[in-house]
Amino acid sequence: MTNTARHGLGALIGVIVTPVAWLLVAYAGEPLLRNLQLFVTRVTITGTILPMLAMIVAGALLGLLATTFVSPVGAVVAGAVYLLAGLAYPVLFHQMFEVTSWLPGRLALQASNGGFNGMYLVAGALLLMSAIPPNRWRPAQPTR
Amino acid sequence: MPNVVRHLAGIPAGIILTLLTWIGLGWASRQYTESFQQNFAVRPTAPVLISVVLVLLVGAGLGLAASARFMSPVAALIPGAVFFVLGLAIMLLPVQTRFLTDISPLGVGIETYSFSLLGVYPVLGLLLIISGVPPHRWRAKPRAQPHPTGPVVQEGRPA
Repeated sequence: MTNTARHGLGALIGVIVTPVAWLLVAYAGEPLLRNLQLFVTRVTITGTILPMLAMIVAGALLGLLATTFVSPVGAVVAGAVYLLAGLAYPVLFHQMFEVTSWLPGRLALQASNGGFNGMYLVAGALLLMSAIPPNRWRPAQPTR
Repeated sequence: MPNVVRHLAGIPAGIILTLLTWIGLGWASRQYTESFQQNFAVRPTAPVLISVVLVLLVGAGLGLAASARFMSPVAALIPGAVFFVLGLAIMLLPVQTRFLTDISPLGVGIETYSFSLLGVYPVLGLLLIISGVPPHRWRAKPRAQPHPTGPVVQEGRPA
Protein backbone atom coordinates (compact mmCIF):
# COMPACT_ATOMS: atom_id res chain seq x y z
CA MET A 1 0.00 0.00 0.00
CA THR A 2 1.36 3.43 -0.91
CA ASN A 3 1.82 5.99 1.85
CA THR A 4 -0.89 8.23 0.36
CA ALA A 5 -3.38 5.36 0.35
CA ARG A 6 -2.41 4.54 3.95
CA HIS A 7 -3.17 8.13 5.02
CA GLY A 8 -6.43 8.12 3.04
CA LEU A 9 -7.48 4.91 4.77
CA GLY A 10 -6.47 6.47 8.11
CA ALA A 11 -8.74 9.47 7.41
CA LEU A 12 -11.63 7.13 6.58
CA ILE A 13 -11.06 5.12 9.77
CA GLY A 14 -10.98 8.38 11.76
CA VAL A 15 -14.25 9.63 10.25
CA ILE A 16 -15.98 6.32 11.11
CA VAL A 17 -14.47 5.75 14.55
CA THR A 18 -15.04 9.28 15.91
CA PRO A 19 -18.88 9.24 16.08
CA VAL A 20 -19.07 5.48 16.78
CA ALA A 21 -16.83 5.70 19.87
CA TRP A 22 -18.70 8.85 21.00
CA LEU A 23 -22.08 7.09 20.77
CA LEU A 24 -20.86 3.90 22.43
CA VAL A 25 -19.55 5.83 25.44
CA ALA A 26 -22.71 7.96 25.59
CA TYR A 27 -24.94 4.86 25.53
CA ALA A 28 -22.93 2.91 28.11
CA GLY A 29 -22.63 5.60 30.78
CA GLU A 30 -26.29 5.82 31.79
CA PRO A 31 -27.02 2.16 32.74
CA LEU A 32 -23.71 1.82 34.55
CA LEU A 33 -24.32 5.00 36.57
CA ARG A 34 -27.85 3.81 37.35
CA ASN A 35 -26.44 0.58 38.85
CA LEU A 36 -24.58 2.67 41.42
CA GLN A 37 -27.47 5.06 42.11
CA LEU A 38 -29.94 2.18 42.68
CA PHE A 39 -27.42 0.04 44.64
CA VAL A 40 -27.68 -2.77 42.10
CA THR A 41 -25.36 -5.59 43.19
CA ARG A 42 -26.23 -8.10 40.45
CA VAL A 43 -24.41 -8.23 37.13
CA THR A 44 -26.99 -8.23 34.31
CA ILE A 45 -26.66 -8.46 30.55
CA THR A 46 -28.42 -5.19 29.69
CA GLY A 47 -27.39 -3.26 32.78
CA THR A 48 -23.74 -4.25 33.03
CA ILE A 49 -22.32 -6.57 30.37
CA LEU A 50 -23.53 -4.79 27.21
CA PRO A 51 -22.54 -1.28 28.42
CA MET A 52 -19.16 -2.65 29.51
CA LEU A 53 -18.63 -4.23 26.10
CA ALA A 54 -19.56 -0.91 24.49
CA MET A 55 -16.86 0.82 26.54
CA ILE A 56 -14.33 -1.87 25.58
CA VAL A 57 -15.16 -1.55 21.87
CA ALA A 58 -14.86 2.26 22.10
CA GLY A 59 -11.47 1.95 23.82
CA ALA A 60 -10.26 -0.59 21.26
CA LEU A 61 -11.36 1.62 18.34
CA LEU A 62 -9.62 4.70 19.76
CA GLY A 63 -6.59 2.56 20.63
CA LEU A 64 -6.42 1.53 16.99
CA LEU A 65 -6.14 5.21 16.00
CA ALA A 66 -3.28 5.76 18.45
CA THR A 67 -1.26 2.70 17.40
CA THR A 68 1.84 3.45 15.41
CA PHE A 69 1.07 1.14 12.47
CA VAL A 70 -2.16 2.96 11.55
CA SER A 71 -1.89 6.29 9.70
CA PRO A 72 -1.89 9.23 12.15
CA VAL A 73 -4.51 11.03 10.01
CA GLY A 74 -7.21 9.04 11.82
CA ALA A 75 -5.88 10.22 15.19
CA VAL A 76 -5.80 13.83 13.90
CA VAL A 77 -9.43 13.64 12.71
CA ALA A 78 -10.76 12.11 15.94
CA GLY A 79 -8.45 14.19 18.15
CA ALA A 80 -9.49 17.49 16.54
CA VAL A 81 -13.22 16.69 16.83
CA TYR A 82 -12.94 15.58 20.47
CA LEU A 83 -10.73 18.52 21.44
CA LEU A 84 -13.11 21.05 19.89
CA ALA A 85 -16.09 19.32 21.51
CA GLY A 86 -14.33 19.29 24.87
CA LEU A 87 -13.64 23.02 24.61
CA ALA A 88 -17.10 23.88 23.27
CA TYR A 89 -19.33 21.91 25.65
CA PRO A 90 -18.74 23.94 28.81
CA VAL A 91 -18.98 27.27 26.99
CA LEU A 92 -21.68 26.59 24.39
CA PHE A 93 -23.74 23.98 26.20
CA HIS A 94 -27.08 24.85 24.61
CA GLN A 95 -25.67 25.03 21.08
CA MET A 96 -23.84 21.72 21.54
CA PHE A 97 -27.04 20.14 22.81
CA GLU A 98 -28.73 21.28 19.59
CA VAL A 99 -26.07 19.39 17.64
CA THR A 100 -26.94 16.10 19.36
CA SER A 101 -30.67 16.75 19.85
CA TRP A 102 -31.62 14.46 16.91
CA LEU A 103 -30.30 11.44 18.80
CA PRO A 104 -33.06 9.14 20.14
CA GLY A 105 -34.18 9.10 23.77
CA ARG A 106 -31.79 10.18 26.47
CA LEU A 107 -28.79 9.62 24.19
CA ALA A 108 -28.96 13.29 23.19
CA LEU A 109 -28.29 14.31 26.77
CA GLN A 110 -25.88 11.49 27.53
CA ALA A 111 -23.69 12.55 24.59
CA SER A 112 -22.77 15.62 26.62
CA ASN A 113 -21.32 13.65 29.56
CA GLY A 114 -17.84 13.56 28.12
CA GLY A 115 -17.95 17.31 27.54
CA PHE A 116 -18.23 18.03 31.25
CA ASN A 117 -16.02 15.44 32.86
CA GLY A 118 -13.07 16.32 30.62
CA MET A 119 -13.13 13.09 28.62
CA TYR A 120 -13.34 14.68 25.18
CA LEU A 121 -10.64 17.17 26.11
CA VAL A 122 -8.16 14.60 27.39
CA ALA A 123 -8.94 12.12 24.59
CA GLY A 124 -8.55 14.88 21.99
CA ALA A 125 -5.20 16.04 23.34
CA LEU A 126 -4.02 12.42 23.63
CA LEU A 127 -4.95 11.51 20.06
CA LEU A 128 -3.51 14.72 18.57
CA MET A 129 -0.26 14.27 20.49
CA SER A 130 -0.05 10.63 19.43
CA ALA A 131 -0.06 11.82 15.79
CA ILE A 132 2.98 14.08 16.16
CA PRO A 133 5.94 11.62 15.96
CA PRO A 134 7.39 11.97 12.41
CA ASN A 135 7.97 8.22 12.04
CA ARG A 136 4.19 7.70 11.99
CA TRP A 137 3.92 9.84 8.85
CA ARG A 138 6.69 8.11 6.90
CA PRO A 139 6.05 5.04 4.72
CA ALA A 140 6.63 1.70 6.46
CA GLN A 141 10.20 0.41 6.09
CA PRO A 142 10.41 -2.81 4.05
CA THR A 143 11.47 -5.76 6.20
CA ARG A 144 14.63 -7.51 5.05
CA MET B 1 19.92 5.55 25.11
CA PRO B 2 20.13 1.75 25.46
CA ASN B 3 16.84 -0.02 25.02
CA VAL B 4 16.86 -1.51 28.54
CA VAL B 5 17.34 1.94 30.06
CA ARG B 6 14.49 3.28 27.92
CA HIS B 7 12.16 0.59 29.24
CA LEU B 8 13.34 1.03 32.84
CA ALA B 9 12.78 4.79 32.57
CA GLY B 10 9.28 3.96 31.34
CA ILE B 11 8.37 2.58 34.79
CA PRO B 12 8.68 5.85 36.77
CA ALA B 13 7.27 7.75 33.79
CA GLY B 14 4.25 5.45 33.80
CA ILE B 15 3.74 5.79 37.56
CA ILE B 16 3.99 9.60 37.38
CA LEU B 17 1.54 9.69 34.45
CA THR B 18 -0.87 7.46 36.35
CA LEU B 19 -0.88 9.69 39.45
CA LEU B 20 -0.98 12.88 37.37
CA THR B 21 -3.96 11.58 35.39
CA TRP B 22 -5.79 10.27 38.45
CA ILE B 23 -5.38 13.42 40.52
CA GLY B 24 -5.25 16.00 37.72
CA LEU B 25 -8.35 14.83 35.87
CA GLY B 26 -10.25 14.39 39.13
CA TRP B 27 -9.43 17.87 40.36
CA ALA B 28 -10.13 19.46 36.96
CA SER B 29 -13.49 17.73 36.61
CA ARG B 30 -14.52 18.99 40.04
CA GLN B 31 -13.78 22.61 39.01
CA TYR B 32 -15.98 22.17 35.95
CA THR B 33 -18.80 20.62 37.94
CA GLU B 34 -18.73 23.23 40.72
CA SER B 35 -18.69 26.10 38.24
CA PHE B 36 -21.58 24.58 36.29
CA GLN B 37 -23.64 23.94 39.42
CA GLN B 38 -23.17 27.52 40.61
CA ASN B 39 -23.87 29.32 37.33
CA PHE B 40 -25.52 26.73 35.04
CA ALA B 41 -22.59 27.49 32.78
CA VAL B 42 -18.86 27.08 33.12
CA ARG B 43 -17.45 30.53 33.81
CA PRO B 44 -13.84 31.17 32.78
CA THR B 45 -12.59 31.58 36.34
CA ALA B 46 -8.95 30.92 37.23
CA PRO B 47 -9.56 27.37 38.56
CA VAL B 48 -11.56 26.46 35.44
CA LEU B 49 -8.87 27.80 33.09
CA ILE B 50 -6.16 26.03 35.09
CA SER B 51 -8.16 22.81 34.94
CA VAL B 52 -8.51 23.09 31.13
CA VAL B 53 -4.73 23.52 30.78
CA LEU B 54 -4.16 20.65 33.22
CA VAL B 55 -6.44 18.31 31.26
CA LEU B 56 -4.69 19.25 28.01
CA LEU B 57 -1.28 18.61 29.59
CA VAL B 58 -2.41 15.24 30.94
CA GLY B 59 -3.74 14.33 27.49
CA ALA B 60 -0.49 15.44 25.85
CA GLY B 61 1.55 13.38 28.32
CA LEU B 62 -0.56 10.29 27.69
CA GLY B 63 -0.34 10.92 23.94
CA LEU B 64 3.46 10.97 24.11
CA ALA B 65 3.43 7.73 26.11
CA ALA B 66 1.13 6.22 23.50
CA SER B 67 3.30 6.85 20.47
CA ALA B 68 6.58 8.77 20.96
CA ARG B 69 9.67 6.79 19.90
CA PHE B 70 11.72 7.95 22.89
CA MET B 71 9.06 6.79 25.35
CA SER B 72 8.98 3.14 26.29
CA PRO B 73 5.57 1.48 25.85
CA VAL B 74 5.88 0.60 29.55
CA ALA B 75 4.93 4.23 30.24
CA ALA B 76 1.64 3.65 28.40
CA LEU B 77 0.97 0.16 29.77
CA ILE B 78 1.19 1.17 33.47
CA PRO B 79 -1.55 3.87 33.41
CA GLY B 80 -3.43 1.82 30.82
CA ALA B 81 -3.56 -1.29 33.02
CA VAL B 82 -4.36 0.67 36.20
CA PHE B 83 -7.26 2.63 34.68
CA PHE B 84 -8.64 -0.27 32.65
CA VAL B 85 -8.71 -2.66 35.63
CA LEU B 86 -10.08 0.07 37.91
CA GLY B 87 -12.77 0.93 35.35
CA LEU B 88 -13.78 -2.72 34.83
CA ALA B 89 -13.93 -3.42 38.57
CA ILE B 90 -16.15 -0.40 39.25
CA MET B 91 -18.36 -1.10 36.22
CA LEU B 92 -18.88 -4.75 37.23
CA LEU B 93 -19.28 -4.21 40.99
CA PRO B 94 -20.21 -0.57 41.59
CA VAL B 95 -21.60 -1.12 45.08
CA GLN B 96 -19.00 -3.59 46.34
CA THR B 97 -16.09 -1.37 45.26
CA ARG B 98 -17.30 1.73 47.13
CA PHE B 99 -14.27 1.48 49.43
CA LEU B 100 -12.21 2.85 46.49
CA THR B 101 -13.59 6.31 47.22
CA ASP B 102 -11.63 6.25 50.49
CA ILE B 103 -8.30 5.10 49.05
CA SER B 104 -8.27 7.35 45.96
CA PRO B 105 -5.42 9.86 46.10
CA LEU B 106 -6.08 13.42 47.30
CA GLY B 107 -9.82 12.98 47.72
CA VAL B 108 -10.80 12.34 44.11
CA GLY B 109 -12.87 9.27 45.04
CA ILE B 110 -16.14 10.57 43.60
CA GLU B 111 -14.43 11.36 40.32
CA THR B 112 -12.78 7.91 40.31
CA TYR B 113 -16.31 6.50 40.31
CA SER B 114 -17.83 8.80 37.75
CA PHE B 115 -14.82 8.43 35.43
CA SER B 116 -15.08 4.65 35.60
CA LEU B 117 -18.83 4.54 35.02
CA LEU B 118 -18.90 7.24 32.33
CA GLY B 119 -16.07 5.68 30.35
CA VAL B 120 -13.06 7.90 30.95
CA TYR B 121 -10.93 5.26 32.69
CA PRO B 122 -11.90 2.11 30.78
CA VAL B 123 -11.70 3.78 27.36
CA LEU B 124 -8.44 5.65 27.97
CA GLY B 125 -7.01 2.59 29.74
CA LEU B 126 -7.66 0.26 26.83
CA LEU B 127 -6.49 2.90 24.36
CA LEU B 128 -3.14 3.09 26.18
CA ILE B 129 -2.81 -0.70 26.48
CA ILE B 130 -3.39 -1.18 22.73
CA SER B 131 -0.91 1.59 21.89
CA GLY B 132 1.77 -0.31 23.82
CA VAL B 133 1.22 -3.65 22.07
CA PRO B 134 2.97 -3.26 18.65
CA PRO B 135 6.28 -5.22 18.85
CA HIS B 136 8.32 -2.55 17.06
CA ARG B 137 7.75 -0.17 19.97
CA TRP B 138 9.64 -2.61 22.21
CA ARG B 139 12.61 -3.00 19.91
CA ALA B 140 15.69 -0.80 19.97
CA LYS B 141 15.88 1.94 17.34
CA PRO B 142 17.51 0.36 14.25
CA ARG B 143 20.99 1.71 13.54
CA ALA B 144 21.71 3.29 10.16
CA GLN B 145 23.27 0.58 7.96
CA PRO B 146 25.59 1.09 4.97
CA HIS B 147 23.96 0.73 1.60
CA PRO B 148 23.94 -3.01 0.69
CA THR B 149 25.47 -2.42 -2.75
CA GLY B 150 28.40 -0.42 -1.34
CA PRO B 151 29.71 2.82 -2.84
CA VAL B 152 28.55 3.55 -6.37
CA VAL B 153 31.38 3.19 -8.89
CA GLN B 154 30.96 4.71 -12.32
CA GLU B 155 31.89 2.53 -15.30
CA GLY B 156 35.19 3.23 -17.03
CA ARG B 157 36.67 5.10 -14.11
CA PRO B 158 38.98 3.80 -11.41
CA ALA B 159 37.24 3.32 -8.07
